[in-house]
Amino acid sequence: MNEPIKLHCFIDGELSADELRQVELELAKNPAVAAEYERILRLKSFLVTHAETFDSEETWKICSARLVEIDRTKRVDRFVTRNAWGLCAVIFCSIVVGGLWQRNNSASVSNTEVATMMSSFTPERSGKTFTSDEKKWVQGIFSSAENSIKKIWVDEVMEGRLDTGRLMRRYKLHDAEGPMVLDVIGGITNVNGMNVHGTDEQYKSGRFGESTTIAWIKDGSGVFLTAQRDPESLVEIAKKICPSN
Amino acid sequence: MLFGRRDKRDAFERQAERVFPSIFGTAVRLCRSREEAEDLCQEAMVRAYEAYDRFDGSNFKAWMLRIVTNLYINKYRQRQRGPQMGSLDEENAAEPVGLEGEIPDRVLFDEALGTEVEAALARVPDDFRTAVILSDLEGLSYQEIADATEVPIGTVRSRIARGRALLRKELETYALREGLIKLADLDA
Repeated sequence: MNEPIKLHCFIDGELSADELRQVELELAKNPAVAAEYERILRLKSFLVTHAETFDSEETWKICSARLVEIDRTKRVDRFVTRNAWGLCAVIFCSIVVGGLWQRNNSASVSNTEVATMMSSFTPERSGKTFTSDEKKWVQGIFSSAENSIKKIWVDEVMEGRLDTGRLMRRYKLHDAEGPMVLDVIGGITNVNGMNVHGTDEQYKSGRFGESTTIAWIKDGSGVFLTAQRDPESLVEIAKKICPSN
Repeated sequence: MLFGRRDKRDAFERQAERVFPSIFGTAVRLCRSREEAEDLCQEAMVRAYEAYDRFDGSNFKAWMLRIVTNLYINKYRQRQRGPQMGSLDEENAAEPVGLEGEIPDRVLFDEALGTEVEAALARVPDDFRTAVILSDLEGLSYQEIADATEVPIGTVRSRIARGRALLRKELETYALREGLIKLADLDA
């Protein structure tokens, strides 16, 4: 046979009608071609019957699990893609709300926040509207604190709420060396950004403009004593004002 | 949409599970390594699943085998090492001339075991082996093989013929080596 490839095609049923007739004729008249045909046929069936069967169960399970994983990933991708703007808005709002909450409710404040609070304080009540008992009580605190070196006088007491909702009291004081301001701001348990004063860790000091401020915490409030003096003398006064510190 | 996707996966899995032994067997025979075949199958399954919307619904097994073969030719074959890497130059390859009278088929075929058949098949160069596997073991038509291997149908015809002749040659070599036949048989 001139074209042995056709014999293979014949066995595989891949010949056109013309080619088929041609091969059939060849097979009928040529024993060598017929023998070759038989040989190819046997090889083909031998391959099918003797080929090994490979265990594919484990691999199938892995593939199946991967398909589940793909679906899960796509589901997440689709959700994120569809709701990207919404998610961004939620995250943004969370940041804003969290920041506001932190700003309003955090018991820890920074030195710059303290400066803002002190400078933006607008009193709702001043010492003039205080009852005489209140004023006496306030006077009592300071006068009882000092039995020693210097006497401290309360010139005015002011009270109001800050933007953050915190209650703030301001005492305008003076002693022999000059005026002082004592600010008591509620809801503060820690002041960051000020230096610890010497070895006495409960007092922190810092400068606000021309003045020096000493800060400490008393009964859940931040107490800030400000005057144009050195920190040591302010700490000394602070110890007299709040001796239990 | 969630249920739609789940339905799609179920439908795909139902069809894929049925043909998976064939897919895996073909992958093992193409790669000649179980580990690589596992990787090939997984990658092919993922590709098929992602392209399932484009499946025309005719012959799922042929479609899957096409993906596996394509992937093997374009990616896995290049990674493989060893003397069987390349194909024979098709132009210079020996014609599949008749082997009549060389070895009695009964001797050759009756004594061979599955592992030896697989080993002989593994020694057939890539392109010819691929054609023989897809045709004789998986029953694909020449056109389907041409689509899977991206060659003209005439090339598929010659590859199958040459592949079978080479396989037979490998089996003869095995039979001679194992003493199942003697050189004298070849001259008989």
